[in-house]
Amino acid sequence: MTNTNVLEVKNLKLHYFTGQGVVRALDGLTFEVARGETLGLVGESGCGKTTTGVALLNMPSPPGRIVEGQIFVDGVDIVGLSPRKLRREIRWTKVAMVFQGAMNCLTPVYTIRQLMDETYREHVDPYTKAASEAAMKKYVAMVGLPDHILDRYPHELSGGMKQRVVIAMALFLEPSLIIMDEPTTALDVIVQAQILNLIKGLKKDLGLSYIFITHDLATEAEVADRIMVMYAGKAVEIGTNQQIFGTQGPAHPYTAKLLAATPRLHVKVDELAFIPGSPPDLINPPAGCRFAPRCPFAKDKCLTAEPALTALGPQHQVACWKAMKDVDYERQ
Amino acid sequence: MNIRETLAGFGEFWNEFRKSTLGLVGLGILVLFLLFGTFGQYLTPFPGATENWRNIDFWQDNAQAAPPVWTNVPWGTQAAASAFLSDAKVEVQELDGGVKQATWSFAYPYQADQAPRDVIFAFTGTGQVPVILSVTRPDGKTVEISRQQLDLAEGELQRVSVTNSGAQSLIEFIRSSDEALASKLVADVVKPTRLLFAKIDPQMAETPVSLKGSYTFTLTALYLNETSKVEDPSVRISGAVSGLLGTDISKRDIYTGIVIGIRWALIIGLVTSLITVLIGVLLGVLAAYFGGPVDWVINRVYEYFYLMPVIPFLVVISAIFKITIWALIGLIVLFFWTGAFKPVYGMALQLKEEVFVEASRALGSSRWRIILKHIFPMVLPYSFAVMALSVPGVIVYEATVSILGLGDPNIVTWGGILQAAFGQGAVINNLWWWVVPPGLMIALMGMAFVFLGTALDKILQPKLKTR
Repeated sequence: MTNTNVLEVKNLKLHYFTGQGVVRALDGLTFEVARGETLGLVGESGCGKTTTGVALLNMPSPPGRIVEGQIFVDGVDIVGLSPRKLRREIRWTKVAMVFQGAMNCLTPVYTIRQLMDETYREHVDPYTKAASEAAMKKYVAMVGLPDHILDRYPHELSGGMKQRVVIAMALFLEPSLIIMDEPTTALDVIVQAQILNLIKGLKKDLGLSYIFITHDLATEAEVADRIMVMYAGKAVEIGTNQQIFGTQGPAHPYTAKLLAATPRLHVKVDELAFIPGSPPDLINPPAGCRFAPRCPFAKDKCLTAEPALTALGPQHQVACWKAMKDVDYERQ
Repeated sequence: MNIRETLAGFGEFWNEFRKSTLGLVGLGILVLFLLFGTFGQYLTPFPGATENWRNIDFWQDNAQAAPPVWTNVPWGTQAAASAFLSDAKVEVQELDGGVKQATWSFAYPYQADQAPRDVIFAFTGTGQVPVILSVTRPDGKTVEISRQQLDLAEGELQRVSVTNSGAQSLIEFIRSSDEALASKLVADVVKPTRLLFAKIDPQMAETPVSLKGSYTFTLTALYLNETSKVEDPSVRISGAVSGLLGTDISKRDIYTGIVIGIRWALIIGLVTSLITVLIGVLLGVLAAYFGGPVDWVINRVYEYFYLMPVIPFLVVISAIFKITIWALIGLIVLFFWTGAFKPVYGMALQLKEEVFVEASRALGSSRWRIILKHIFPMVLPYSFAVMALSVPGVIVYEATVSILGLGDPNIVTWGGILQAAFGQGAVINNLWWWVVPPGLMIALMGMAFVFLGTALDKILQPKLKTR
């Protein structure tokens, strides 16, 4: 492994053990994030984006469990770590997360100062009040908020302010990797733009590494260096921003469909494109390619054999028989 | 800075609380109760009553089943009130042969229409002392109540009751002025105090006319030798009306009982509801947060105690064990924590799915930290309201248990007073002052806490909704 990678995930499998059966929410995920890079995670609802984010903190919500695979954060495999070590050394100090619906992340009964101070007290040793105070002021200023919000309760802040506070808290301990789970979804467009600019600015200034989870491709095109497209718990295509959004178009039919379903400002559309059908049942996933039942290009090979993620070019990987120009597929 | 924040928070809370009239009324009543519960026992006419509630000797100078003094309405018959005379005019005379004669005279202005129940001479003495007890009436006549040759151990308390030992003397006294009337009187039947405080006329036995004016009770003692002496003499009038709230059949002052009962009502109410709510909330949060087997076990335990009929259980328990108040509190806690459990369980189930709980986990918080710092404070306002609202329930419960005769016999509670009242026929004998005040106090205390709880509920619930 190279030292330039903040995160390396190898064959990660996270399953939910429910009464109906085993839900294979993540089924063999392999990717990495380089230092200073933003990896965008896109896909439909329920494809495992958020699960991936939570898995990177080794914090699957029950009845979920990581059954296989490794997650290297700064070269340390966090899958086998004890809960205590995870709490002390990984969560928030190495990997921080901005949750979906971040405005509800702040416990309503505490002021921002109390919340931030608790974080600092828990993780920084030796703790001094002055250092904690200085760090709070620094990061609150960094996200463009005045000092006095430290004395406010969460319900006294607007959605955008809360979002900034949550981002400040994520930055607070200077983690190696920040996972942003739909950080702008609940905000109006103006605030969205402000937050996105803030995130990009912080990245430039601090050299942060992000995993940016969203279903909004426009946002992704704005912030991400590389994109990982997920479908039914698997990565179907990983490529640079250029490769996915560029003129030659993405390699995977699913990515193409996803892009086509995005409304565009300058093109008149009578009816929005959509992908017929719905994501497969993850308890009994279809044999072969998981997208095959909804894929207009599906052939017999697609329904029987599952394509692995294969390099298509530099930094471009795809899992599709058609894109890989498979011999059997071409013949059929 | 934390103190300042807390104070600011409290100020804000108080500003909101002030707007609730009910809350202020409840708070006012509670403050009164607290003051009386703390200092009341020093303000009662019977300072040692807490320890001596069931000591018959302690109350023996009181009137039995006497109504409250304020039943003497200005337009009605005036009944003599209880009084304690200790200011005496003392005279010591040297007689022949080294014998000393001491005389104590107690002045008693009597203006009532209805004679007191009893007049008691009390003193402590040592050695051989002949004593003469007499009463000088406003008409100038003197009644010698008793003449005794006492041989007392050191500091022995001596009591002489006019009712118990004055009947014959009074008949003799009447004989000196009305031979015919005296011969009709029977010592076992007459009420001596009625004769003592009546004008002498032929109808005085049936319809006595009260002789108003200044009476003097005199105690004369002879000190036959150096060691004999009489000390601390006093005269106690057991009134026909007594105290602020009357007395019961065991001569106990009910006002005193009510005042010393406040303390136990508060202790039982506050301690029990504090512990019950704390346990209920803690178990509710634990069951919800941990889920799985913990959840299952706690819920089954909850169902067990929720469905168990409490009164039969307590009857059985108290038949086997001697129940003290602390055991009773324990038993009430055992059954009452179920009240707060389910709502808190429901709230915690919802709270544990909140993003801030997940965020706190991602921040590296341990499970206990999340429970104590992020879930507990969220259900705390609710708990306060539940606590205030459960106080009256607990007080009434203790009263119920006491009325059934299952309470702690060593403490004074309102329920205990009520139980004695019912057990000794207060209702049949029309002793309303024995039944109404404790009942009213239970209601009043319950009301104070319900008012407080309602006010708290109104203030604290919207806070929960601001999320």
